[in-house]
Amino acid sequence: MYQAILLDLDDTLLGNNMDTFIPRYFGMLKQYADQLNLDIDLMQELLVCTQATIRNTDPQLTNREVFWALFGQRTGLDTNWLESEFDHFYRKHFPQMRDVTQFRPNAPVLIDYCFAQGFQVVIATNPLFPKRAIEERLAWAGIPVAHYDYALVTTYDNMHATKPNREYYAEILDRIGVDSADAIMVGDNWENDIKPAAALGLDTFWVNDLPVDPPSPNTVTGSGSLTAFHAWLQNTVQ
Amino acid sequence: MNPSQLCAQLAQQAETIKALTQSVSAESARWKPSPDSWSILEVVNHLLDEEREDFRVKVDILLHRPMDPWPPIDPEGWVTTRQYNERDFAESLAAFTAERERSLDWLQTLKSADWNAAGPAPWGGTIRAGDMLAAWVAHDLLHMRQLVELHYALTLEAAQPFGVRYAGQW
Repeated sequence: MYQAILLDLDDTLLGNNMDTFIPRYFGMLKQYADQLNLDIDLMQELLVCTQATIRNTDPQLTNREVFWALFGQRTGLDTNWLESEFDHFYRKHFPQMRDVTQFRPNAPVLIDYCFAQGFQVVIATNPLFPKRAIEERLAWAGIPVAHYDYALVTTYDNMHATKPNREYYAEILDRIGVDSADAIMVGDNWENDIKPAAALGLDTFWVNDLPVDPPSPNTVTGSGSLTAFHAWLQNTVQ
Repeated sequence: MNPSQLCAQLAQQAETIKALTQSVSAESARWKPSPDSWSILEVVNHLLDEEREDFRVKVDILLHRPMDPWPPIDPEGWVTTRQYNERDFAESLAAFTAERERSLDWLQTLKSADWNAAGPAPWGGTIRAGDMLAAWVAHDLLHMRQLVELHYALTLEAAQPFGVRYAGQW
């Protein structure tokens, strides 16, 4: 019996194709940043600093600290001021991004079921976004933090590693006090969600709406749609 | 079938359900004409859970993954296991209204849906997504009738010792 269910957010609990989402997100962010007259190639800096954040696994530094330290070092800008501007963007403009995401009706049903079973529920979304941006997407998915007492929602403010590093999953398990053998990671991304979690000893469920076999069937505990995971979990629990 | 019309009906019916219930006191909302009957509060919470866990989920499955298993539901059992009649009435009604709005937002995104898409039904045979959407609308109507019956019973109680026979046959 599992003690914890770790769930990815984008394209798992919320329909959100990153090939659509990221260009729109960067476009909106650039439009906003243009008003600030930053005199830098913002998109380039974002990419470089995000890549550096992904590479970092220093347990002493949050992802947010890594990102902004490098951003300040590279651009010479006042990162406190710029971070407050980004926060304004997430409050005022980011909610428009909801249009490119798709509500998945079974997501709140699954989350309700997990809580009813007494599992610790972790929203294991790649912690490259601030808390506000992740909580906004949870609301779009119909599973807001205001209604659910999640054991942990991983954000760039509270984590010290990102996917696909094993350290990310190890930190989650450490934070919630659960052994890898007692948890399952559920996600759509093979490289980010399945491989590192499986390598750490967690069970894994690969979410995929298409009737295709997993890239490595021996790596994964189960696969199928989110609805199929719900049914699979119910059978496993019984 | 005109899906837009059915969706508009779902929107309108939510308003009617709200109108049929929001003026009722918390005490009257919990009242049952008999131990086996449902109260208004139980009807509202049944509509909430059906909205969230039954019709919307089933339409999604039939349209997008028709061979997927259906998550089990227990509408009759939930009334007691989820203690509907112990819940806050105003919060329950607000939750149903919010959930219906979420459904309508979602239905709006299904512009090119194939309402003939069919999947196996647990009772045998097949069921189409359009059947499920139509049933969703009809389900509201069943419970709107039930709410009217509860109002009638509440009126009989409140009118004591006077009677309502002059109104005609119920």
